[in-house]
Amino acid sequence: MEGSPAKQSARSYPHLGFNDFVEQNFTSAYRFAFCLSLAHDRAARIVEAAFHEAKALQETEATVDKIWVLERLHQKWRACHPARFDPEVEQNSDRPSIRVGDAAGMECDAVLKILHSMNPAYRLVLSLFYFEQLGANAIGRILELPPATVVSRLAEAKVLLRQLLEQTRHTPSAASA
Amino acid sequence: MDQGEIKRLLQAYRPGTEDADDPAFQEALASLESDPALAAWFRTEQAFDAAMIAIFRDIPVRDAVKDEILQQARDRK
Repeated sequence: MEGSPAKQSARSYPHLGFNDFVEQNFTSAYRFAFCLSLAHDRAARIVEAAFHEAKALQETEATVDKIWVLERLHQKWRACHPARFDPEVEQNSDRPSIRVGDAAGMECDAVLKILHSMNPAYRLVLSLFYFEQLGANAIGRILELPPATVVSRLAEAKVLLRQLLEQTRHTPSAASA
Repeated sequence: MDQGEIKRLLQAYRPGTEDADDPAFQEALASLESDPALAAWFRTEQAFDAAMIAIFRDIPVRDAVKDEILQQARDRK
């Protein structure tokens, strides 16, 4: 599995006007920033900074797209959070996993609370996989990881997520309707 | 490629992305055709993914931040 350079497209900036570029990518950027920072104020700050950088590139030959924005968000967050980033062994294969039907009935807040409790290494791959519906190669570019590492991390993270969802479902205060 | 590796790849597979052109994913996907139990497991995985995607669509986004970005860009002109 090899990473490949970001594809340029008509959805990139400056092919798009800046306003259209922001309109098309703001939601993705904000959700990812929120997943990184776990706080709306911090998310807002790094999103603003990333888009201002994109705007500044208008004067250069550079082309930026959604992947570029997500990469910059991750880099900005990492610059302030240089702590160890390897996932710890948190899995226990004996723990029950939630069934699909039960997972579908859970509320966003409850699932987000679980996501935020997870190691960042897992949280980030899950957020890009589920929020942005990106594949392993694109996730690897954003997080600066080999695609094979993304695959392993995603597989572990999804198993853990299902176990934590099932655990939460049996906690009356955290479970959804 | 053993069953564990195939499942890891399929858990990370995102249809409609460049991963579809990746030989490792293609090999894992080809295994589905000859293994009904694996295909059933994969369908469940995809259903779980779809459920999570639907839930995460509800994450609140502060549109005021977008308005601020656009306003600042206009002010800098």
